[in-house]
Amino acid sequence: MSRRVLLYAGLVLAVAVILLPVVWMVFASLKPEADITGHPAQLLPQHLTGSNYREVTRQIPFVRQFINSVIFAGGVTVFSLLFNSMTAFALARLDFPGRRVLFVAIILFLMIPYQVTLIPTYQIVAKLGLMNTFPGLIIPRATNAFGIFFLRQFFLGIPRSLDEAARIDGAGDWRIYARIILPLSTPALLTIALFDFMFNWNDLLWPLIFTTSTKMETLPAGLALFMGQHVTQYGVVMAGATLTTVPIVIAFLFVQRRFIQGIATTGLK
Amino acid sequence: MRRSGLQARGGLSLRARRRLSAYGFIAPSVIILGVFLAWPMIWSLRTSFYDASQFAPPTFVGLGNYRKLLTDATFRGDLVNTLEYAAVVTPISVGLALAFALMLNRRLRGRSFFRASIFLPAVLSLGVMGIAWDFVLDPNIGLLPRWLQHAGLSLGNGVHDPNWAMAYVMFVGIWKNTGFYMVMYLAGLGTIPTDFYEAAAIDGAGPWARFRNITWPLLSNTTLFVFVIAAIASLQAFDQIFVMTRGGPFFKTETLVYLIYRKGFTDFDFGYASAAAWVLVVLVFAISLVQNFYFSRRQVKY
Amino acid sequence: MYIDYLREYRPGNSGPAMGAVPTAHRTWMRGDAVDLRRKLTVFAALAALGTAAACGGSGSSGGGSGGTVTVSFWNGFTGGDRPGVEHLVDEFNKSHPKIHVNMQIMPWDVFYQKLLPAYGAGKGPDITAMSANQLAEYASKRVFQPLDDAFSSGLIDKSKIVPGALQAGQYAAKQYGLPANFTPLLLYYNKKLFKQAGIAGPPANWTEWTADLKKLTKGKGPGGAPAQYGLTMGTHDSVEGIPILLAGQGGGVIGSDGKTVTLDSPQSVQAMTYWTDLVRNDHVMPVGTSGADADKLMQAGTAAMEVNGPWLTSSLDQAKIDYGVAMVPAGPAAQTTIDDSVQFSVGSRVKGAAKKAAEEFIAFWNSRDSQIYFANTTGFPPTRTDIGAADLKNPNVAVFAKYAPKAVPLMPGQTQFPQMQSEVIDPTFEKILNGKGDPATLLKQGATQLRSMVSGS
Repeated sequence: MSRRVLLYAGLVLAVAVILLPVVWMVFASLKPEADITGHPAQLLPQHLTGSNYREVTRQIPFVRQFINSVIFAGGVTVFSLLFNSMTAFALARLDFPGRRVLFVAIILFLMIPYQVTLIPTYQIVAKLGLMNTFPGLIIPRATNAFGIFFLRQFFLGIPRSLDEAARIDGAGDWRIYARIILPLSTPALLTIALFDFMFNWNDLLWPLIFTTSTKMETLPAGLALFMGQHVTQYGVVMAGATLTTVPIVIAFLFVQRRFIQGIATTGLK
Repeated sequence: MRRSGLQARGGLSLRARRRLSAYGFIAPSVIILGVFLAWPMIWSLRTSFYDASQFAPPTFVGLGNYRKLLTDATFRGDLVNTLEYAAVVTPISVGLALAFALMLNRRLRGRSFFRASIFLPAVLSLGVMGIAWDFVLDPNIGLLPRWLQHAGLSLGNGVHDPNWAMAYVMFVGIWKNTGFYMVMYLAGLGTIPTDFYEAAAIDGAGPWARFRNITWPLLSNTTLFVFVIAAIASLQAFDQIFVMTRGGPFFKTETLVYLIYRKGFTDFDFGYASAAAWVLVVLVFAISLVQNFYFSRRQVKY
Repeated sequence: MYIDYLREYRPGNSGPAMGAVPTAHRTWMRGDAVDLRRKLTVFAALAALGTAAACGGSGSSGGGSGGTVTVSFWNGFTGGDRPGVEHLVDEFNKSHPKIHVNMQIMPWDVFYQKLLPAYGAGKGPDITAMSANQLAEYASKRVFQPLDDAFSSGLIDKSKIVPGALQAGQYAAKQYGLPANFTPLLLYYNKKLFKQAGIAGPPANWTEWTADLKKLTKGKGPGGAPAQYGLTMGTHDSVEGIPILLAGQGGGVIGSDGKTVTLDSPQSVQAMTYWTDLVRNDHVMPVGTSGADADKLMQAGTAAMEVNGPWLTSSLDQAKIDYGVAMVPAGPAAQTTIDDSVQFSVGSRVKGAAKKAAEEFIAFWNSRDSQIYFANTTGFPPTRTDIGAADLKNPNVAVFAKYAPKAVPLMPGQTQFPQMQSEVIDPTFEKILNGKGDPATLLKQGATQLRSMVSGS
C-alpha cells in the first residue's frame, strides 16, 4: 500500500514541522536557563531540571489564577454557546423583520479589529459598574459574531425537512431548537466551544484591562510577569506555558472523540 | 418596523407570536452586541472624522483623516502588505486545512495524535510561541537554520531580513490557523451522510470522483465559512507580527491592524487610527461580499 | 462620551476645558440627550462605586477606612525587576500603617493600552511608573501633575539624587517624574572570547574598538554569516545603541536643547558611514536584531560585546558567561553614552492625603536603604549619589553607578518620542544597515521627518 506510506510520510513531516516549537517549549521548560540560550543550540535537554516548574508555582498564585482562568474562559464559553446558538437558530430558521439587517451587522462586527473599540468598550464596562468583576469580564464576550456566523452556517446545512416534520407534530420553536437542531449540531457546538474556550484561556489583554486587582488575574497575566521588558525568564515561561496548555489539549482530545459520535448521530437515514 | 401581522381578538396572531419568539431568540445577543460592539463601532466611525489626536479635545476634520491616509506612504505600504499577506495566507491555510481534514477523516492509526498535533498551534498562546519560534528560527543561533545549513540551505537573515521577514510572518500565520480550519472541515465532513459514499462505491466511483461529486459540493457551506473566516483573520493579522517583528524591518511586515495599534496606542492618534480601521472594514466587507456571492451561487441544498 | 473621557486630563475640569472646543461642537456635546445620558451614567457610576469599593482597590484615590489611605500603583516591572519591586512595596506597607499601596504589575504593552482609557473613565491609578521617554507626552497633556513640592516639603533631598535621574523626570522645567530607576548604557564584553583573541581588556577608544571587533568576528555560521560577532546591539524594541555611536563622533539625534535635530549633521553622517562600513563589509554586527535577540547572542557566547543596561547582568550570570562591564569606548569627539530611566508619576487628579501618600511612597523608594536593596536585587545602579561601591554587592552595579553621570538623554522633552522612535529613528538605522541607501541621504530624510515632530517646532 504505497499510497498509505505516502500519506503517513506526509503527515509525519507536517506534524514534525508543526510540533517543532511546541517540542522546543516542553524541552526548554525542563532545561536550566544556561542550556536554553546555550550554543550550539540543542533540542534535547542535556541536564533535566524541575526547577522551572517549581518556580512557576512558587512565584505566582498558580492555582488561584488557574481557577480564575476557568471561571473567565468557562463562563464566556457557556454563555456564548447558548446565546450564539439561539441567534444562529433564529437567523437560519425563523423569519422575522430585520433578519437580513442583523446578519449583515454580524458580518460587519466580525471585521472591526478590537484595537479601535477598546476605549469605548472600556468606558461602557466602567460606567455599568462592571470593572473588576467577573460579569464585567464575561458579559461583553457572552456572545460573538464569529460564533453566530459559524453556527448559522452549520444550521443551514441541517435538512429543513426534519424541523418541518416536527412542526407538523406541533413542536414550537424552542422545542425544535433544543430537541432537533442542537443535538444534530454537536460537532459544531463542540468546535465553537473549544474555540471560545481557548481564545479566552490565552487572552492576556482583555482580563488585564478590565481588572485592577491581582486577585482576579488569569494565567496569561501570571505568565507575562516572567517576561520582562528586557529580560525574559525563558525556562519559567515555558514551564508555565506547558502547564497552561495541558488542559486545552485534554479538552481537544475529548472533543475530537465526539466528532465520531457526531457523525453517528447525524446518520440521516 | 413594519406593522405586526393580523391581530386576532383576545391574543396575538400566529405570525406575531412567531415573530415574538424569534425576537426572544435573538434578544440576548442583540443586546450584548448592541452595547459592546455596535456602540463602540459607531464611536470609532465618528472618531474617524475627528482629529482626536492624543489627549486634546477632538476637532471635527471631516474627511481629513481619510485624506491624510491617502498621502501616507506607510499606510499605502501597509495596505499592500495586508493584501499580500491575505492573498498568500488565506488560500494556503484553507487548502492545507482541507487536505489535512480529508486525510484525517478516515480510519487511520494515530489519527487522534495527528489531529491533536495539527490543531495544537491554534490553542497555544502566540505570546509564548513567538518566543519559541524566535529561538528555533534565529538566524545566528537557531536550531532550524543550523539544521538547514547542514543540508546546504539558507534562510537568510531570518525575521530581520527585509526580503524574508514577511515570509516568516506568513508561515507562522499559516501554522497558527490551519489546525482550526481543519477542525471546521472535520465538523463539516461529519455532516455528510455516509450512505452517499456507500452508494457511490456501489456505482464504482474512484476517490477523486467521490471527492469531486460528493465531498466538495457538500462541503460548500463549510468552505464558504472557512474562506470568509480565513480571509478576515488574514486581513486582521496582528499577533505574530506584534510578537516577532513589530512590523519591521522598516515597516516590511507592518499590516493595517498593526498600524491601527501603533497609531492608537503609541501615538494616541485615535482619529487617524479609526479612519484606518474603517478603510480596513470596508475592504474586508467588500472581499467577503464577493466571496459570499461567489460561493452562494454554488451552494448545494439537500 | 468622549468629552467625559477628555475632561479627566483637565486640571480645571469641566467649564474652562470646554472653552477650547469650537462652538459648533459644543452644541453637539451639550445636547439635552447627552446631558440626560450623563446624568444617568453618573448614577450608574455611583452605583458602581459602591460595588467596586466592596471588591477593594478600584483604583479610586484617597478612599479607605479607619484613616488608612489607599493609593493604587500601576507599572510594568515584570521579569527580573518584579521580586525587588514587590518586596519594596511590602516593606513600605508594613512600615507605613496609615498608607496602603495597592500595586498591579502588567506588561508594559498592556500598561500603555490600559492607562489612557482608565484615566478617561476616572479609574486610573494614583501612581504610575513609566519610561522617561513616554513621560513628556503625558506631562504635556497634564495627565500627571508636577511633584516639585516633594522637594520643598523636605520629603526628598534633591541634592542626594543623581542629577540625570532628576532631569529625566522634568518637563517644561517642572518635575513631573521622580526616578524609579536610572542607568547609563554600557559596554558588556565576554572575557573568555577576549582572551581567546589575545585581547587584554575592553577597548578604550574607537581605534582599539574597531581592531578588536575585526579580531572577534570570525567563523562561518548559518547562511554565510559569521559564527561569532564582535558586537551586537538591538536596533528595534530595544534601548538605542546607535545614537551613542553618533554622539561619539559629535553627532546625535536631537541636541541637548531638545529642539535642534542633529541626525543629519556632518558628524552624524560621518559616524554612521564609518559604522555602516564595519557592519556591511566586515560583518562585525548582525543586522536588525531586537534587544532580546542581541541579548540571546551574548548569552549564547556568539557575540563578544553588547551595549546595554544592567538588566543583562542577571541573564549573563544565568548563562554562565564570564563577562565584564566598561564605559562605551571614546569616540573621536567624545566619550558619552545615553541613559535609560523609569519615572514615577502621580495622576493630576490625585490631591490631599492621597498625593502626600504617593509622594511618601516615592520618597521611601528613593531612600538610602531602599536603593541599596534595589541595586543589590535588580542590578540597577542607585538613584542616589550617597551610595558607594562598598554598599553594592555586585561590582558591575558599581560600574553602572560610576558612569551614571556620563549618561545623557536621547531626546529630552519630546512629546512625540515613541512616534519618533518607531516611525523614524529605528527604520532609518535599519534601512542604512541593510544597505537600502547611503547614510547621508537616509539620515537627511529621517531628519526632515523628525523636524516636523520635534516639540516646540
